[in-house]
Amino acid sequence: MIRFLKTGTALLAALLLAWLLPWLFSFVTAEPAWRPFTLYSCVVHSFASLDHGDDGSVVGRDMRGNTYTESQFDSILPMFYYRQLAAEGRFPSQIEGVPVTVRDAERSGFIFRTSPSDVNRPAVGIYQILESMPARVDFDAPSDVFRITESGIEFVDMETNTTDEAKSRLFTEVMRRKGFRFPARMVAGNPTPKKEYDNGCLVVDAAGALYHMKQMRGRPFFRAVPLPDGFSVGRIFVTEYPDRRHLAFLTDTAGHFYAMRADDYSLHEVAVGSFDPTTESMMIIGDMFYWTVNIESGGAERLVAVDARDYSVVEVRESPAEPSRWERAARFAFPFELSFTSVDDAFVRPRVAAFSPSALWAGAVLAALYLLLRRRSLRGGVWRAAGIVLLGIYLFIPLLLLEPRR
Amino acid sequence: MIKAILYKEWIKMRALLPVAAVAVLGFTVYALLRVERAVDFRGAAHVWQIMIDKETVFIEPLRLLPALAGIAAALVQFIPEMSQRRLKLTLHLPFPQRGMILVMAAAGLGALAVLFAAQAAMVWGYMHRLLAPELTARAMMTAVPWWAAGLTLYMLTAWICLEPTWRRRVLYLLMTAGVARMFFLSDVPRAYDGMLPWMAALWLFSLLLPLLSVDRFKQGCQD
Repeated sequence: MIRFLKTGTALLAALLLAWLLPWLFSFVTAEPAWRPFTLYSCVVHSFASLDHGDDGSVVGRDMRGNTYTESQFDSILPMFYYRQLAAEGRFPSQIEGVPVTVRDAERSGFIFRTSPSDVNRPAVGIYQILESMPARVDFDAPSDVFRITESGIEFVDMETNTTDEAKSRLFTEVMRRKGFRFPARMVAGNPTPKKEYDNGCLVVDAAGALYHMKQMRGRPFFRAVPLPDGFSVGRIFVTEYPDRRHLAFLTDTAGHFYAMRADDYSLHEVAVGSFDPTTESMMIIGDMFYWTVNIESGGAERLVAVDARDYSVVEVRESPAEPSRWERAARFAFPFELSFTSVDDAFVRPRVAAFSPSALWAGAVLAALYLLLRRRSLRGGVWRAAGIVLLGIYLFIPLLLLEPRR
Repeated sequence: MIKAILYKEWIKMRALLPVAAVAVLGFTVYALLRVERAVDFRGAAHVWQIMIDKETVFIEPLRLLPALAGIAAALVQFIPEMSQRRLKLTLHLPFPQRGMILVMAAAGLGALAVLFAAQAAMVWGYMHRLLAPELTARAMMTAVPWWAAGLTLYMLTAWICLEPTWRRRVLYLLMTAGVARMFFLSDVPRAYDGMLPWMAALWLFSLLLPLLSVDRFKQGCQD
């Protein structure tokens, strides 16, 4: 029993050190990581980024080696800097032969963002849906929530915490009639009243079929959304941008990214490469000509320029993750890293990462040092020495501190 | 003999328990009254909306109370045992030594469990009338790590108190601080759901740790 407790105490101390030492190391050695702001230019047809010169001045650069002043940079990205150009009377009358106005730039511009920490969060299990056709201009915050169970959809009034039987029955009947199979596998929407219009919810049923649900004057609007054969929905991001062109962005379980048109539910693949919203963040800055899609994961960045008119990929640039010198040094010191939190999700759970065989050498040296300091023969201390080789400094420190000198 | 041991533990804890009960249950009433005021002023729908949108469960002010109660209970129970080495006398009573320590710990754990159960009942009793079961479960599950922290820190504090040498106490204190930090890494509701089995394992292990300190005491370890 006591031997078990001694071993357990040493291992507990080792686990705590495996968590705290790498954290302390990265906290002390953290360096700022910065990438220049980059967009695809519809004028020079190249990625262009805004950087700072040695003297602190703002310098624009495109990927062809041209440099721009701040004012010139505005000109090569007219759909993004339209307000500045309009204020200076420099907004172009046409781009790529297409007549444009400031209003076009304003209406077609959008920014879409998703990150793993947005996606990987504990779900509540209840959802809200706005009244899409409110009596007044502004939306009202929903007064109820809904859940979709095996027996149907259930609306619960928030003020009284009671089920609205009539509304629940009405929606359930319509959903059944349209072929919906309860319960729902996924519900996606933006139930905030602070928006221009409401696209409602997209709901995936138990069979994997996709449906569009809205509430219009208290009555259900429920329509099946046709999907290609074998299509399996991964994640859904309902969009409500001013140009009203799209209903949602979504991924399939194979990691493809799609834009769904609002007018006919047509699905258009945006070939940005494999994208997993649970591990990668994405930002799209789009306008009526091009979208600049920025996908980041673990320090690596992928920039994809997409033609907004036909969703074709125009240009791709990739920047691999480059570990800092301190991160490289940590690989020799720490055999692995234990953490309980992550920037990629909101959960607390043990995660072991950054396994480094290079640290075995340091472990071997520490094991020899331990045998020397504690005057143990290799035979007498073989298990402890093996433990130190594997766990390195994490076990070396507890054994030195918790074991009495002989 | 068990009855006598429990009576001894009651004598040690009887001053603390009313204070702990007033503090824990009083703060619980305060937290729930805050929710009730929000309901009075803005309506129940506002409370629902905040819980859904803002990732809050309204009982966050209670998060440290179980941990503090656990530490305080262990201190009042085990510091008297170590002052003037009274533990020596305790261990000479006609009762298995390990069983003696476990019964003492069981007394403290039982008192804490009753206190935390009363707190949980108050929170659940209020919230389940006001909120959807999903939101009530969200609040209760968010609080589970706080109660687990109370029970675990009770055992780890006992482990430190019963340790006969100061050098080891400092080491154990550092380890306990690290373990305590683990219970309070996130304010996100239900963030700890996946961590609960590991917490349970840690608590089970911590149940036995005072035996290690007592073993060192019996060996005569001292500064």
